[in-house]
Amino acid sequence: MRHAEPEGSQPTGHTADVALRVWARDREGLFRQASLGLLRLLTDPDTVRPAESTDVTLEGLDLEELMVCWLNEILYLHDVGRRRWARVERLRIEEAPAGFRLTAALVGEAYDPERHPSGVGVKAATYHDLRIDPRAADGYDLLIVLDT
Amino acid sequence: MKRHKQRGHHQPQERSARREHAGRPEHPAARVPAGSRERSKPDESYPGGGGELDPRNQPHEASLRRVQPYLFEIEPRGGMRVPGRVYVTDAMIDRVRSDGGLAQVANVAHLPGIVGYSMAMPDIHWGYGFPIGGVAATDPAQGGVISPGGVGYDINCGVRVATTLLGPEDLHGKLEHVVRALFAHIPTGVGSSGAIDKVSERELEQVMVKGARWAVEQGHGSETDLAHTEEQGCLRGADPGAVSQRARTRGREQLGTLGSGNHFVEVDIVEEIYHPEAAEEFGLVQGRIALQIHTGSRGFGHQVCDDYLKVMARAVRQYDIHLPDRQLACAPVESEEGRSYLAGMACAANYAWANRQTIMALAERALMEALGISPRALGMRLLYDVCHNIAKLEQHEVGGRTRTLCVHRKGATRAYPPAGVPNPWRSGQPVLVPGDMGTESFVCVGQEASLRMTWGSSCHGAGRVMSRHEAIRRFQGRDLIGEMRERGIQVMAKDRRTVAEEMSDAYKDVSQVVEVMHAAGISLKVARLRPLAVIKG
Repeated sequence: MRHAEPEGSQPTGHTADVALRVWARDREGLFRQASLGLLRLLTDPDTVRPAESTDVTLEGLDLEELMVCWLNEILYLHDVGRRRWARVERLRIEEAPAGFRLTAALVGEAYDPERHPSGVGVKAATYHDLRIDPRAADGYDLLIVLDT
Repeated sequence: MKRHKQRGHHQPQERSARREHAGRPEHPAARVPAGSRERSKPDESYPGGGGELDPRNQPHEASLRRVQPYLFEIEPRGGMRVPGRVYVTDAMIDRVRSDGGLAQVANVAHLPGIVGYSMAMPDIHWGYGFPIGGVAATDPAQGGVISPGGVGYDINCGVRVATTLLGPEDLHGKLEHVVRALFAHIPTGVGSSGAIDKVSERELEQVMVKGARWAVEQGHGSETDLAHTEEQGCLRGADPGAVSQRARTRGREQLGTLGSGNHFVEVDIVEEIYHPEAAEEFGLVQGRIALQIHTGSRGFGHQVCDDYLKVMARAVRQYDIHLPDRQLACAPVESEEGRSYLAGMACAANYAWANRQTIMALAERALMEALGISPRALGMRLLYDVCHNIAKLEQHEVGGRTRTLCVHRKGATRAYPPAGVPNPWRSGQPVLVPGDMGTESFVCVGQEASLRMTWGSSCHGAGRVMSRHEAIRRFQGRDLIGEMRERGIQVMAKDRRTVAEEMSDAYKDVSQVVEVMHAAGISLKVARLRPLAVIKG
């Protein structure tokens, strides 16, 4: 599939759930776009003020697990921390002793029902059909199925 | 398959991934169960190479054949250990073919220790890992596995139906009032919280262990409700030690909340009776008002599932299990990981029962308040409560011998017949099949054939035919709540988009789905319920 933008994401239909099609040139772009796609499903990021930043460090056995952990971390903070985010900053992926490590900062604020429209009720990101080649030479284009 | 002794439950990794400031630098690999690393193999053959997951990549046309009027079989090929079986009619099979569900039925057939068939009920549609409508049993004594993906994120998502003594005349001109009261009493929507006082850590452990009984002890309902709940509202073997802190944190917030998506509380009228004898036993009277509640274990269950998918990702390496889809990750039932998941899953199942029991009590109060009537005049009585997403150890007959099997039902309902299994019902166990919010729901009853054919299972609902995304796109700009009102259905939702997602056009016709099970003799239709009022997230 060819896209006008070098990296991005687009929600797409999956019978039971919602899937995000995500494309990017490199690993960082892929993880960044996946999270931005999820943030846009959860609320309209333009309504969120960049009042605070939450640092996140995660590890995964492989890139697939790291991706699912990253998106589910956002969902956890969304539900339990009652946060909404405007953007993702300083996202980095590096190899770790047993897999991969992601560091990033989520920039946003506490949930304000008056200003933040409620979005899709996403329960979790799934591993369904998720394969991320750590050394893809010609970029990434994949589908992440979200349980809703 | 190697057998593994139980070594006691281990705590799932609270997070192989955690926030930096959480201050626990422990590496995920350090939490892998003892003994696993010396046996683990290099990662060259990690499951994922199967490549059968593209929805267009369905089992070969030639491998799918009709074996009975309502039953299609998928011949085993590749790594499939058993054939697949899908309960659909000729009229339904084309739609099933165009969905990805058949490939998922074939994928489930790869699970170690699977017995008989990888099955799907007529509400089959493409899920993740298992198809929705999937039923599979494994034999723990033969290395059979348990797969969190065969249960899903919303552990013990289920439905309950309560009957009342009200007739339509009691609601005349008051429906909007009723809907508002339900909406005010029952928190709905994404991440909703705060229905009842936030439970303490200790109370939450009671919820995990006691299930619906915990809610009854809090004054939400009565002892008879427990007798009318699958497993009496409490799955045995629940061990809070198998549940992470993250799941607990999410659980404490959300007890007594409905959530979003396809979850709902609905006021129905009993429109038609098909099986007078069973209807009488179930307390279903034509023209009376009933209440239906559909929700699950909320963020608590999602977190338990997420935690154990990580445990299982490591277990498949340890036990050298090869699967076509990582979402099917599993471990032998009789391994430390398998037992630990079962113990954690039971906690989530019990949480869901406590949740539905609490919500029923909130709904009862809302109805009394809106109508200004006494509990006696309302006469609310739980008909039954069933799980739609669960794995259970059950006794089934295999080759003339009774064996304990691990039955996964993902979007399927237990449907036990009158005799042969623990079941207090003369007519058979009630099977509750909600349809979409615009049409109808069914109460059915389990029959003997279910034990022979589907490990005592039947369908669970209409089954989607349109993605949520597509539904939102298609119904954009329409006054759906107004349209529903014109059809005599009051709808109130926290988010208007949820209404679009859940419109009837997005679902299969539930009557066709229950008809297949009826004709196959698996579960018979007892009554049809028509919605009058719905609240959603």
